[in-house]
Amino acid sequence: MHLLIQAIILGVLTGGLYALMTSGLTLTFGTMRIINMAQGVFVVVGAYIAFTLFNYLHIDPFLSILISTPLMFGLGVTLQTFLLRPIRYDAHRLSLLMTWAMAIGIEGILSIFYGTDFRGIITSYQNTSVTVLGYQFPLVRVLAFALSVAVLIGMWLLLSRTKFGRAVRAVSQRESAAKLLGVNTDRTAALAFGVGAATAGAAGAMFGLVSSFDPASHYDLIGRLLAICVLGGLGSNAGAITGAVLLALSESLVQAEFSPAWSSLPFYILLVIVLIARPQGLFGVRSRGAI
Amino acid sequence: MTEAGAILEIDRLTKRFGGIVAVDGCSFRVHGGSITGLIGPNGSGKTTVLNMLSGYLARDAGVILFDGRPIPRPDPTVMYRRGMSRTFQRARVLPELDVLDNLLVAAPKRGFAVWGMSKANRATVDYAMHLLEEFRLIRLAEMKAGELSYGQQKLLEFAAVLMGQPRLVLLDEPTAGVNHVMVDLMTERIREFHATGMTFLVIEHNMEFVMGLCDPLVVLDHGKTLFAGAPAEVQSNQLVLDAYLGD
Amino acid sequence: MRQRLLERRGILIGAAVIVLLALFPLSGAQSWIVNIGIFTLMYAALGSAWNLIGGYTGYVSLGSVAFFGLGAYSLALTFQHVGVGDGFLPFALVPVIGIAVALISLPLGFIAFRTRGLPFIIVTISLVIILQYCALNLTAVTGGAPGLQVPQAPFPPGTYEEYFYWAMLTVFAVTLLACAYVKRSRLGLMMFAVREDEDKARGLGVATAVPKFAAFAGSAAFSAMAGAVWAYYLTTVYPQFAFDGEFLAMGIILVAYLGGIGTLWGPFVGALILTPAQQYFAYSLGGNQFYLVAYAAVFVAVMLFLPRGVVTTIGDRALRRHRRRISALEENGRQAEAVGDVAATG
Repeated sequence: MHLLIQAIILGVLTGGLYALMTSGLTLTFGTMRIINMAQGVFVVVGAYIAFTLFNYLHIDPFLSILISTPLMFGLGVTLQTFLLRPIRYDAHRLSLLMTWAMAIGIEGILSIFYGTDFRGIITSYQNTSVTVLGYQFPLVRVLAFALSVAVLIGMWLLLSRTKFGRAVRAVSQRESAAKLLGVNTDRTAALAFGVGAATAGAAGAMFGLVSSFDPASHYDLIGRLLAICVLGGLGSNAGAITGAVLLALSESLVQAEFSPAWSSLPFYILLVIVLIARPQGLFGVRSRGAI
Repeated sequence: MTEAGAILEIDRLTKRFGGIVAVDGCSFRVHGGSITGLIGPNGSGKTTVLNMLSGYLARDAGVILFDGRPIPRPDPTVMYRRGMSRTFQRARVLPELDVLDNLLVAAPKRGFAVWGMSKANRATVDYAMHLLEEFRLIRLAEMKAGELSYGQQKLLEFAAVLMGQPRLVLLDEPTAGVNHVMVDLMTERIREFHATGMTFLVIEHNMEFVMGLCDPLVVLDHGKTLFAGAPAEVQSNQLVLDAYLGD
Repeated sequence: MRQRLLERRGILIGAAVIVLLALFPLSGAQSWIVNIGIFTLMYAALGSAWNLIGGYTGYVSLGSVAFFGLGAYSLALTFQHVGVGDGFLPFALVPVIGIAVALISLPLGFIAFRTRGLPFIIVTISLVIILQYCALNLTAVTGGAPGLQVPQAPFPPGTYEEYFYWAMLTVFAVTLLACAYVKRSRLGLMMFAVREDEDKARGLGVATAVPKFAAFAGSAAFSAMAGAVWAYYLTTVYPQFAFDGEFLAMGIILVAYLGGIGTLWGPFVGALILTPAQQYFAYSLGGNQFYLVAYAAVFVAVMLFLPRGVVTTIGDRALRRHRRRISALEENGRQAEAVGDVAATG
């Protein structure tokens, strides 16, 4: 029982981090109707930036997010402008390949600079835990959870209170109408992609603290992030958060009760069940094709 | 199907979208062999009713009887096979396929197997060519549907929904965005097919077109049937005038 | 009439190409070139198989890889305890594996087709991930990460590759024939209708489940057959290469795009351009990770500059030139008439 609750605690804490990683996907899907296959690699880039800043400049990973966020934002905007904007008009299929090409290219560049060995960010407080009611709360994960929640709230404020956020919501709902209302949809898309990359980068710094990583880690990550989105309902923030927590919980529980090797499987089984019962995902909307 | 029989009957049909009630206990009948007009101000629920009739939208409440038989779960394919077809407000064709193929796709299954080596049998192709001639599209038979003008696409869509020799055709604003030559062509074709026993339910805003072609008229307002009757009655009905002018 | 003549010409050209491909290994080409040929044909087959579901039916699927891997493991598992005899027995098993995997694909398709568009792509990606996962962890059955061994074929070293080349060519030819059949049949018309506007097609009485499942199962069958031949050729089946959602999946789609989706010969042309290039990159740059960057650069270049694919672009240009020539002739005709009139009255 103790083990079970411990696993649940860990699951929820990790879920927050996954939710942050997925939020960028939801944002990109909403504004550009594309799957960003490079979201995983953005996380990994964030991890490497934090790793570099920590190892060479001794900046704490959580603090380094202040530096990596604008960098990742810039990277996202640049990539969108030069690689995604030209193919905007056949976006659906080409963007899958294009973002995947970005991911592979960036993986290659990371491999050239950092090699293919696994890395990790080991801080002095790596193994510190806070103990509450007999349960362990690893400090790193608690901070990661808190920061993820903070950033998610920040994103929510951005989307609901700012002009940019209104533009994003307008484009997500009906792009043609948004254009007519004077929204610069190209710029909105670029900025949204940048924000998605920035949040992924922030998540990456924390990811590097809880997990070891190499340039190829993005592949595992993107698979899980995409599954989260489909389970929750593509384009739904509530869905992404729910899916993220479900994934993390199921992984944590299986890892504790059975073996780490099978930890991802129950989530995929859950995905299949949800798809059969409710193909649009938990929070998604089903359309039947009438105009 | 007798002259006086109702080929289509809806009773207290209801559809809600979130907080909005688009169709609110709507009831009316379409008599077999008629060209019935469905009119009403914008937002009165006409297209939503059409979507529910043709199997594209699930209803929240109410009964739909086609030929006396209730319509179960919404399924456009089932409705087509039962003899009801429809066009869309903004013409939908299959853009990358030839004009001819757009018609062959709509051919009923009986007559040849799915797995055969050809797209359609002789009789089907002949009928499709005949329809293309009737709609003055025969020159364009080998062009891609996406290359046609909007008016031509509307004609093509109309021709395609006739391939299955339906008993009831639902037309959603057939004259919208189309020049008067094509409107005349459509009117001719509707009258022609009507003479063979086909029933039409036509949503329209173009009053000249409706008054000259349809009888009876069903007027919707705010998702309910406001009035139904002959064109002359409708034109002089105070409720109808209020509905159109009041909004 | 003209249509039929064109078709007959197309069939003759197609047959000629296949015959030339078949004769290729006998031309004295070295083993490593035949090896590249095997992989080229493999990508051509996989690309054509993908075309059925992705190009014709419009459902972009990464699932070909899942079925490729299933085909590979099926062959390997079958020959764990059975000998390969004179070496041709595994080849005889390939069509059986194709049919078996096609049947397995039906319930999987049922789940996947609950979705469309982007969620559908993700579901197929998830399928590959789950299968790779199972292959890695069900070590009792699949041997896990170290891979599963297939007995080596007892072919003589000088001509060893040739038999695999012809086997892969057969898989490609069969796939191509299926695609050609689809293009001119009613089943194909139904697939195209689904691609163009699935809901409109339903409203026209098309039983959309039929073309969707046919395309999915057909694609699965041919991908599995390619996988089976590949397994036999490599003699070791590794989970991360059999269920390679990274390179193989994207490579298949890239090949189809480069050649031209929805065209018959597109995937073949795409494979012809891409596979030798890929092998070259791996060879000269494989040691360090420049290979990945180069691969990505090719992707990007194709999508920015040739988004409609080689075959489609060439086809379009030819059509435009043809139309321009016709209208020029017409124009000349009119001018001649005008001159003639003036001459007559003048």
